[in-house]
Amino acid sequence: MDKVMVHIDNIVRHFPVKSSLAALFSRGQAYVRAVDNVSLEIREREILGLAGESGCGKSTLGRLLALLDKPTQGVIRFEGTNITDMLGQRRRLKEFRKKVQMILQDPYESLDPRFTVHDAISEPLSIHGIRSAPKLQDRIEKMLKVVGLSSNDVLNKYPHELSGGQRQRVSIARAMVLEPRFVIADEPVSMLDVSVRAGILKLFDHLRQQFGVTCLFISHDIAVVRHLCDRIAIMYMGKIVEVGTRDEIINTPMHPYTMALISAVPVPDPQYKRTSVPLGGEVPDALRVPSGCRFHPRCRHAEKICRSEEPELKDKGGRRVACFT
Amino acid sequence: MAKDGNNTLLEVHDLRMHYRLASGAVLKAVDGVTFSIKRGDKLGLIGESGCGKTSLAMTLMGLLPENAFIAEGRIFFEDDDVLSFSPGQWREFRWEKVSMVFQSAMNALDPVYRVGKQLTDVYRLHRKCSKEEAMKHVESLFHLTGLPVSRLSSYPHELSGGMKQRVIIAMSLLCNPSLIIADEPTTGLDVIIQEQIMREIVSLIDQLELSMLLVSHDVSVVTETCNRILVMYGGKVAESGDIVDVFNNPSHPYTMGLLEAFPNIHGPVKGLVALPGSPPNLALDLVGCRFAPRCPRKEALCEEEDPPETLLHGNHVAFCHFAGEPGMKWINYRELNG
Repeated sequence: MDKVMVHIDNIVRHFPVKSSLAALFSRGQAYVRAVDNVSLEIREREILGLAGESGCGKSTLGRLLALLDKPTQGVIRFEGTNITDMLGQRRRLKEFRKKVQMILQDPYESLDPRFTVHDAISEPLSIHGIRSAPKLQDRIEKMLKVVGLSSNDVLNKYPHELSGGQRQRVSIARAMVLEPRFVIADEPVSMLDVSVRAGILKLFDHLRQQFGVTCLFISHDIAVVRHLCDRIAIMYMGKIVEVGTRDEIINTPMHPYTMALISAVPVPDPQYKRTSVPLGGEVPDALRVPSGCRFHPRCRHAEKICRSEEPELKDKGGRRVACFT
Repeated sequence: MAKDGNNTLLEVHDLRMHYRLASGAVLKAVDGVTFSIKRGDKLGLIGESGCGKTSLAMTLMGLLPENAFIAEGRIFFEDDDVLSFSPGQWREFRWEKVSMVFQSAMNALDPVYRVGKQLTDVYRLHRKCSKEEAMKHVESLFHLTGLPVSRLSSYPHELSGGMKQRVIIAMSLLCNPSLIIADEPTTGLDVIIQEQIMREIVSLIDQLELSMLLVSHDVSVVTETCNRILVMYGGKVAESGDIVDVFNNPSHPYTMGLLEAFPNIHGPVKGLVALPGSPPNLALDLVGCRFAPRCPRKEALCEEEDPPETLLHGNHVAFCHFAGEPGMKWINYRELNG
């Protein structure tokens, strides 16, 4: 369980911003630092939750790991091999895609409306050389069973004929049919109603048990992350600010941002009196990242050093935290 | 209509609002809903997408699309029979009596006008006054909702999501309404902003002694802000009552499942509950309890007859044939989920 599968080493992704009038007068090109020096390890067979507010860079990090985007700097190793230079090498990339898959938020957009369920799930198989009809049929039916769908019911249906939960199950089947080693799920349940959400979360747990798949689960909803993940990483403005086991992060958060984030989550219990850690202001403009610790303008504990120096992600009794105080 | 003193603000009786579909079928989005809101109430209307909660809110505002029609029912606001309003009366009613905080602030504001102008225009339409007076009033509302007055001259795209939602809240308060209908006011906002906005809405409601109908899919947001809850399923009321009663003693199988499907960030990590099946198609002619096809407790009766209202305690009611029966205590969805 402790073997590292994905090793992210100082990864950076900057997006150039189209020059506005203001940028013309200042010097040079402006950049949004979507992912800014992130180092992270993902262990074999774990479900790692990646949480943070919108725009914090969590989806960009997910896309980098799936090689859907190229890092500006830094190295990602997958099972020991550097994958960052694979882009542009078709054969290696194809092999990589067999092992690493992505599941997206909106199954309505990720499934082709003109593909039946059968077509959608058979496509990855035929790309990877499994083309004989009986073999295809067998793999598809098995996979549909795994994701909890009956092939008699759905096999020849189009996405619009399915419910939201069924659609997400189909897109999970499509991602899992090649039995990848690592799956990146980007907000896979945030479009779904609560009564079906739990079923999809259970499915992730089941997939890990049956296939031993490793998963990066990206979500803005920490309560959901808590119910599924073994470890949790918290991101703020392109940086990981804290990473630790589920209980460490949820029960005893150490970074002031993690504390604020967790304390703001509403509790479904009318008798529970929640005390929240108030946070000043809003997330700053991504083009004007604050000096030093980028959280300092909103932090109640900020000291002089926080304004001038950037804290590194350091070991604090097992977990890692990027904070001076 | 029975009225207890002058305390009832809104009374909805057996409301049926249907849509005529292009295919000729009729979709019964709201199908016999009865409830009331007292002064000072904060009522949470909860249910999954497609259960009719937004349709209900839009009916109360008189903002229905062309293919919608009221098949039956009455709505009383204070002493007015709302459904008999002329277009002119509706215009007066909106903003003055009832105002709405919409789901996506982004779409509720006009992108080509400064937000200050949008607010003063609405105000001047309702209260004939000078631009200066209107601006002064809008400024005071900006103060109230924690927006810097300098933002009056901003265009919507220059504001963050949280600020836009604050502008919408300020707008809803323009004409001193007695009831605010907030339809998913924080959906799409991040959790920290969501918390700030919800806290602000509640404190404004209390401070100005208003009432609120909060439409939401999020059980936890409703529990934290409302004193009463109304659970809708398939166009009908499944259960309603004081929030503590409904939480401690959920008496409709749907409510039981819904409460357990919600993850809690505190307390022990329990497996979440998934309800089997999916919501009913409201364009079909449905017989019996809407929830029966998904219900672990269903019996033959449930598929034949609409469940009657069962009064449990105080104003806590559930629409289930078996509500309140001893054997009904708690359906263990967890065991059922395996």
